[in-house]
Amino acid sequence: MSRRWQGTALFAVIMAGLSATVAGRLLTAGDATAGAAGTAGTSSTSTSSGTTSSGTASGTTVTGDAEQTRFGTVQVAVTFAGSKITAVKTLQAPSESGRDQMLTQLATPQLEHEVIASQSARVDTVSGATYTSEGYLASVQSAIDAHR
Amino acid sequence: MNRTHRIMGTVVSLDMRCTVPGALIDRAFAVFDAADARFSPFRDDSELAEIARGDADAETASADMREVLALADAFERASGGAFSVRRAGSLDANGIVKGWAAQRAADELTAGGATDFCLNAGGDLVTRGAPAPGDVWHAGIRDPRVPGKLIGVVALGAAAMATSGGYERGDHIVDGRSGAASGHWSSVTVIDNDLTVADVLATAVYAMGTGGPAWAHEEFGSSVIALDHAGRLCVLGAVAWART
Repeated sequence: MSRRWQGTALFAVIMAGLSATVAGRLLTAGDATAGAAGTAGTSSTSTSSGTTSSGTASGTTVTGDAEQTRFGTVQVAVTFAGSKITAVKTLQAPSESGRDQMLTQLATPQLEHEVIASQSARVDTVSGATYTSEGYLASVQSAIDAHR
Repeated sequence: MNRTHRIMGTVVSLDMRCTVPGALIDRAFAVFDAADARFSPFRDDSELAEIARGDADAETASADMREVLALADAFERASGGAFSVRRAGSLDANGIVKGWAAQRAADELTAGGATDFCLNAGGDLVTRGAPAPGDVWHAGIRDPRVPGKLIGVVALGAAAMATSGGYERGDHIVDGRSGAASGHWSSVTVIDNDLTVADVLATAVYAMGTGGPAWAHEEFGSSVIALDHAGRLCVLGAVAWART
């Protein structure tokens, strides 16, 4: 069913976003390592506490921190060739139920900030009331009118 | 100019910011009266009650009745049965009639020359034009957990917005697939070009639970603002949050 597919695609996008964030931090660490005359194994910098688990001719693989999210633990391993990412492997991902939550929980801190800021904006009208008591809307509307 | 009208167990409020004849507003409010007379499940003499009792046939019903029932059936199929006007042998079109009537009333106002107004039918609303030149309409979304508090305020141009939630009536939305009260969302707001769509989708998403917002956004292109019982916000599609 198409809905399932869309859900999967959405999830993939979110995971890609997460990986990029983690990988971005690790990339900085990789640069620092590369700058240190190519010595593998000392990737701990102020920007990341990821650990280098292997350094081979095909690249250096760095295991990212296990990140605790609201949906579960996310952990990836990133393989670098110099400062270039050649592979990102997901070591830990949220459970199925965590993924379901993630699908419906897309509000970022930036968005939440925008939403909270909007709460103090001028209000012309209000949505979201199923009034059994007729007074509510009238009251809200009158307050809005008075405030104008 | 502000006018209110009590009908369908709720209040319809019209905030008109351009000059129009009073007769036009009367005609718009008459749309609600006609819809209530035809679709009310609480009036024994409504056409809907006659059909529900089997005294009248849906096939030979009025054009409005056939339109609403056809729309309801289409949404029922699209939602996999989560939205339904038929339940345990009864027929209740309340989940679609308010939005449908308000959209029709708004269209009546537009056709009559009204350019700048906000029509709010018990919390489901249509906005056109602007409250003032260069401005945008600001629609607050009630927070169902805290009376008087808003989840947020959305800036709207020409749009329709509907919200489903527990509010005063408690958990009144039932998942048509299971017959059980839906419990995942505390509040679901849908923004669309058309209030019939927004109203039905808000109810359907609320009934569907977790997968609802993605379904409404992907299948209909609507924007969805959903709040779960833990206070977590889910926003899908473009939403312009008002700035102070």
